[in-house]
Amino acid sequence: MTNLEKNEDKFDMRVNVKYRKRTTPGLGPAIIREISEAKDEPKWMLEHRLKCLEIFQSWHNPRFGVDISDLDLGKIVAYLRPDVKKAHSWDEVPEEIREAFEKLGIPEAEQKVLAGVGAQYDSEAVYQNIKRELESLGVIFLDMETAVRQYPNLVKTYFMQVVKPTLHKYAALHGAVWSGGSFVYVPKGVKVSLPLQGYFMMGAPGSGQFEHTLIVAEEESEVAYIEGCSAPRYNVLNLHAGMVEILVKPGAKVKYVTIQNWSKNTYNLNTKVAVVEKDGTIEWVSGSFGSMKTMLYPASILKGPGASSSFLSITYAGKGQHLDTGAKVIHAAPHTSSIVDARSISMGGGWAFYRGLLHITREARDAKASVRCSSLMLDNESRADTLPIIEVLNNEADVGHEARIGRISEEQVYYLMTRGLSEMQARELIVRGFFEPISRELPIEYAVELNRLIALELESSIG
Amino acid sequence: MEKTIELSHEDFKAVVPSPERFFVEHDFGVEEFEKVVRDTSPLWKAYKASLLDEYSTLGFPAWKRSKLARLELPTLESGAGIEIREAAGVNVVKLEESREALEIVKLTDFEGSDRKFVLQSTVFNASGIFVKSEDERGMLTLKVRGRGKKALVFHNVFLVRRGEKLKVVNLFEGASYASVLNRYVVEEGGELSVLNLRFNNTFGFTNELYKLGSQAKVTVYNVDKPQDLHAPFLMALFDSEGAECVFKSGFTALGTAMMDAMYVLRHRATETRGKVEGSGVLFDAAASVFRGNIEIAKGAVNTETGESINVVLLSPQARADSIPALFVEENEVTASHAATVGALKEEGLYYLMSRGLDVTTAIRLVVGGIFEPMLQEIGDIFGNKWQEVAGNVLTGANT
Repeated sequence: MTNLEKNEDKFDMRVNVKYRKRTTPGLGPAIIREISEAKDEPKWMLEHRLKCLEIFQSWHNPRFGVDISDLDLGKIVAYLRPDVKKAHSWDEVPEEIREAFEKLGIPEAEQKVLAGVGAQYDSEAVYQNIKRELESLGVIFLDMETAVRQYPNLVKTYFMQVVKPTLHKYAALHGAVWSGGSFVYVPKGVKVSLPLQGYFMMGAPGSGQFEHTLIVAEEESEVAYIEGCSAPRYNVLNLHAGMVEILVKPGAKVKYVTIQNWSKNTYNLNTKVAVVEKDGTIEWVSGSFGSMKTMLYPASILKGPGASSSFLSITYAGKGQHLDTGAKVIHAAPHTSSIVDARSISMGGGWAFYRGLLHITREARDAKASVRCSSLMLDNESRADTLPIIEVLNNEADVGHEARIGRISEEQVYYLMTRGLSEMQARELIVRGFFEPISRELPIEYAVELNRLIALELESSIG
Repeated sequence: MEKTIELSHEDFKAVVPSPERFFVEHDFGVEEFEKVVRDTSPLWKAYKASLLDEYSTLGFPAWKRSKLARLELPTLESGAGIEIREAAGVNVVKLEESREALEIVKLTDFEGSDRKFVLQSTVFNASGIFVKSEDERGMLTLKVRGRGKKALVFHNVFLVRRGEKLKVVNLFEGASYASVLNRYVVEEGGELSVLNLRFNNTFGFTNELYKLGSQAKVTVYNVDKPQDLHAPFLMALFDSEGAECVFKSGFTALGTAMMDAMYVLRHRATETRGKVEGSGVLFDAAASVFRGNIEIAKGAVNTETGESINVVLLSPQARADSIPALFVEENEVTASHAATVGALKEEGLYYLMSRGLDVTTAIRLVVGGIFEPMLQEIGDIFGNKWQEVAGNVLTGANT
């Protein structure tokens, strides 16, 4: 632990930001119109928002997952536009906001390991940039509002087509009040060698963030996208109900990496779905560390023959956290394959719940699927659950599932201590080993960040 | 009441889905109640009456995965009895004549696969029995055979007394509607082995609770071949240290039949051991749902528990759902689950066919191999006769 920087404050940054626009708490058609007007949106988008609002108001809450009865949407501010101009250079970003992102290492990472960055503070993007050579190849990387205005036909073709507002109540809510997020379009055959990143920061107490990320990877293209999220901790509840829609066209490959570190007063009710066409590949890498309550089940719909999906996740539930996370995979075509490797750590009284669905349709002959869930309970104050649902509808599929729940073996700790490590170092090493398959999928800077997060949490819980 | 699923932890709770409900045209009511309580003791009558309202106001569950919407509730067969055979080392009396049994029933109230079925069996049972072990040689065979289009409703209670042993064979066949409720209490050091053979019942709902005392040992074999739907629910309560319980299930389903099974191991004492093992074979457009919930409460240290389910699909129209769940609040435990779903290994079939067997015989042999370990154990515990009967149910001529 001592070799790691301890800097919890970096995720608890309070920035004094003036807001140009701030809707009154609650929801209603008037607020939706205000948001749409502030964004100078085309009419079809306003109509879409109003339709989503109707669905939201008539829909029931999810009949599973975390208890959201104390989430009072009447108190949530749906739209907060910081009084800043969107910049294409970090120098143009107001100092306070820039400092917050600098503490997280975003501008530095952009220089070294990223192809483009979009940074969002509350409801709007404050920074957006992409390397010029990618632009010249036709890659589009824009904040969602700009994309709606600049590429209306392209956006209209795909926006909320993968995730319909009727999927669940909070998908409809998102459709009504969405703001910010990224639009990524990768033309046929273009391979983006470095990842793009969107970083989302919630700054104001009692606010909601509803960013929308839409990625379209045309035939034989490749792209990786990293999403980071954080917020300072307040005493009132915040709500995050983002949405990610990914279209993976034939032969394309998309990797979507998330490091979620919302503060522990946040409800994180997020929706992520990828539709994968013939021979396409979606890779989800997900680290869920923050929030008070989370419901998140990234879904892969393997629509074309030979499509594949891999899902690697680590969920960390510490004190005061109930994280209900998992993965959904729908095999809807022959010769599709999927792997789910979901790991969780619970400690300090936290509750990590894995909930997954694997569905093999009648048509998905020769589908191969494996689901593996592992839970590490670092104390007996915590709780770890796994609930995988496996549905197989044809007799030519090969499906396997295994799950294991356990603790750190004292023999392992003892052995490492005989090698000169302190007990804390030994435990930390074992925990790091547990999530190593996920951290090795991240760019090195982010893997280090992940290690820092784990070290901080371990120290605060058992230190 | 022992709820089937309760999800909470510290200040948090999770949302537990509850099914939509529907009412059938001719549900049992006061008329049926009056018939079945004619010869019942006043205490039992009062107890049953106290549940009648709850039953009447509760609809049937519209389970998503089963075909319950097609449920038809035939007239109640209030005179049907249980055929008792091979009784040795046991004391058997009519359930609703026993005050001791009533005390056990009150102590083992549970929700089951659905409260509606538990209440139905409790309130409308007419000829269930109370069985008490008398020594270490307890053996009992119970047979029920369906007669025409009638609803058979039973409620039985079994008590294995301290240090004693009991083997029970339950055979239930050919009913158009069966709702069976069995409560087993195994006292300290007692041993119970149960073989449930349930086949060719159109609609079958079985709810069984096993309450284990310290060092008690329970082994249950479920052998199923449903005609339309069988929904067995078995729950083991590990209330005292060192208890052991194994649930083993073998099922075959043909046509459009469905198995919708749920097994619950509730570990809440130290040093307990549990296991759920399921093997199934699905032909035609048959379907199965296999739910296994393993729960370990805080403080149940040194629990060793696990679950495995393997289903083989023999037709492109068959469907297998597996939902193996672990709910763990104690970290000094060993807990795992595993599931596989797949087709028969073609290599095995080709080999047998290359030896001159036709494809049907080859499939039957391979299917037999899937159930063989379980059938062997049934033979060891209950004798060759029952091994053969179980084998015929799972791999008989019509499979």
